[in-house]
Amino acid sequence: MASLGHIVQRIRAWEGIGLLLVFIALYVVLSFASPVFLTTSNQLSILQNAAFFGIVAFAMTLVIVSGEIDISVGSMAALSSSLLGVLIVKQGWPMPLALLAVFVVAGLIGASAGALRAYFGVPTFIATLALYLALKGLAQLLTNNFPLPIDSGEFFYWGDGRVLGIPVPALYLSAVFLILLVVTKKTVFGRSVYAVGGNAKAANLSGINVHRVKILVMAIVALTAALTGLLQTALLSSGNSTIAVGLEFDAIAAVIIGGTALSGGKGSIVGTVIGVLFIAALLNGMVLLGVNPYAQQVVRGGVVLVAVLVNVWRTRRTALV
Amino acid sequence: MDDTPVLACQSLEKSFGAIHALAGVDFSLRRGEVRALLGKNGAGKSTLVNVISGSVKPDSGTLTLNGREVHWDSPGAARAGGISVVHQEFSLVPGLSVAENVTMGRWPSRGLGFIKGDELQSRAKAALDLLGVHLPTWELVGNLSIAEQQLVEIAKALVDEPDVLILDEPTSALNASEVDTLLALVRRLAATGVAVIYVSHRMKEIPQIADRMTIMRDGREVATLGIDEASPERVAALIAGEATSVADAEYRDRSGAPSVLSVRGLAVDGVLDDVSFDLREGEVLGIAGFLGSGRTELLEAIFGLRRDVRGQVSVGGVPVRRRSPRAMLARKVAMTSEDRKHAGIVPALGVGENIVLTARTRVLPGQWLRRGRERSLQAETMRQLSVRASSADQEVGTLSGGNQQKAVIGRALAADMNVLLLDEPTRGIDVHAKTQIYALIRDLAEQGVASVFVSSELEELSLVCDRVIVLRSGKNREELIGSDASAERVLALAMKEVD
Repeated sequence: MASLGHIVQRIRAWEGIGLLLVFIALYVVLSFASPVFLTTSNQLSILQNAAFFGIVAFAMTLVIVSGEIDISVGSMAALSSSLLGVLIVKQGWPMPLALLAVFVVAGLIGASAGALRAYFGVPTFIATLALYLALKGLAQLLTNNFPLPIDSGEFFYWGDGRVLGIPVPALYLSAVFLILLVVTKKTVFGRSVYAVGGNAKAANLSGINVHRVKILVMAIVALTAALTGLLQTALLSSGNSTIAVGLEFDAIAAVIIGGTALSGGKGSIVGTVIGVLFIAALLNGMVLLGVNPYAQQVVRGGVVLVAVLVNVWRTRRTALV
Repeated sequence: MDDTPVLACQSLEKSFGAIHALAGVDFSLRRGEVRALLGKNGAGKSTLVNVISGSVKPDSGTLTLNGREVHWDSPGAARAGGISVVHQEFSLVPGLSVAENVTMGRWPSRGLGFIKGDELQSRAKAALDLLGVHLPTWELVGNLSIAEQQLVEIAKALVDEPDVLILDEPTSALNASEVDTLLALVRRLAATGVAVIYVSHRMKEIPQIADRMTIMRDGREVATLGIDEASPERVAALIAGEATSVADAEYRDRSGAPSVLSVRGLAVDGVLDDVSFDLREGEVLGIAGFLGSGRTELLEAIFGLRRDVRGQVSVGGVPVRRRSPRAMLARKVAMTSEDRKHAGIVPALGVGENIVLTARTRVLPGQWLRRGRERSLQAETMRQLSVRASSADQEVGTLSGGNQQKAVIGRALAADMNVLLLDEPTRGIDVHAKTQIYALIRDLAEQGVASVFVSSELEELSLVCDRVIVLRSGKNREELIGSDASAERVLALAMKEVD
């Protein structure tokens, strides 16, 4: 009885290692192909770039594990940046208050998408598709589609500086990773996310507040999108409605490459961190090798398709056991 | 075993619309007792279980637990009150660990919602120890075998230290040695004072595990027997009740007619074991067997819905390799699923359009719809089946179950099929509609259409079938001809111990 379980366990463990092996292979190939790739400065820049979609990817893992999706994160980041610009440049708000306002707005919008899902049964794909357009439009409306330059040295430091030589965005990436890792492994909420995504009916009968879980995961991913928007704002030193285009793609792609089941209930933040680093290294490598930008897009799309196929094939196989 | 009842039900009544599911049931259970609960489909077993466990409220009657009258608002309330159920369908989350599943919804936590990991583990361990099983508590449930998952399911029910544990067909997914383990474990639980209601029809298991058995029929408790006074024949007679007044189908010997569907050595690992039969032109062949006997799997295997099938299926003497629904329909063999809602009707389409789905491109011409031809075929089929609908455009989802079923059968009819594979065609429909469907199948048989009629309501087999095959543990065991296929005979054979 136990031996069967153990075999399955071993196959699963091996598949996790499979992703790691592919990742290492990518590193080996790129380090031979480009002399610059393995240098410290390039590796740090990979980490910095990873932050701009990785932070969202970690929260997106929760969303997808709970059986939902959020495709509005890019527009949410653009709105956050624009809102900050408007509040500081046009309204003259102090920085801390403006930051707080941005997070509150983002959290509320995310929570409403979750509430629409929980109480009215609106699929999150549709609700966030609507938000994708609406938030983008709102950002452009606020800024008239012009960048609003923000003058704040301190703010730039916390978004674009370096601590002990490490880019600050990379630190945010690590912090969000650690926090969500602990949340998914050690908290009632985190485990409830898996229960809801795996079997919502059973979770409900067991007394888990399914509505609350759905609202919270959608609010959390919106907050990480706002954080991403603010980091971009610091990088560009302006409130900007044109940032974070395609953020949803890279974030969801990282989650899928990390092995999280699109059907919900299964997945891990650790898998996602490998997915994030994989995409970041791949993008960086393609730039170093001078790959045509259009061809880069084809490669990114292809990688996601392959990852989904592997994922589906894996679920089928375990379903047969 | 002490004699005061831990649970007592008095004159419980419950109706669903016109159906009297519970018609005054008295039932009591002693501490530490294992009670088998038997009865055919619709006898009221599940309703009784649902009332006791709080998912259905009785219309009248009382429920007394440990001497106090109780009224459950929800399954949660019943659980907290001391009654746990292990349902047939698993309620586990594959992505969570054994310990997390066992304690789901009751995860101990400290401030900020951090789980107390040690306490969670020890609570789960306590429940598993009570069962006397050793499972790695950290293992993901998705990595366990079905039998191990069943144990987790039971451990989950034990976390609240129930007074009464209800097991609903707990062995239907288990193999023989796993069943033995489970039975031993239930005995052990009972020895600790838990009262167990064991819903099952497996006559082999019941004497090994139960102290007494209660038999239900037509929403009443008809007998409660000590296990030593319950011979299989007596139990079968009690379950079946008096012979129904409806006339049995007039037996027609079709053994001389040509074989339209021939099945040889059909096997699916762990489900079907070497099933063979011939269906003759114009014959109605019944397949009898309980849940888990392989009834549905047999039809799926024939119709090409499974890929793990060995053996041969021939239509009209020609073997069909690489079977698929399309390939079978092309040979004029149609199947209707037992799951009418999900695999039968398309609820938002009109009843007429539901009827012509298969006929399109097969009987009706080409890819372009011809409104007139469609309409007349719809009208003709609805008339033949006497479907009651305001018009062919009425959404089929809004019709009664019986009329929905007629539409599903009508789909095969409109497409001019020769062989019908009917899986539980009368499930969940009223008596009147049932007799109409029996008559319809007989009429079709007269016209030469052969049917395989699968049913768990064994008494209806003799009403409609010329011949009945009894399926037990995935094998065709006995064949009964014509009026030999009385409900009692079929029941006794279907329940017979594994030979």
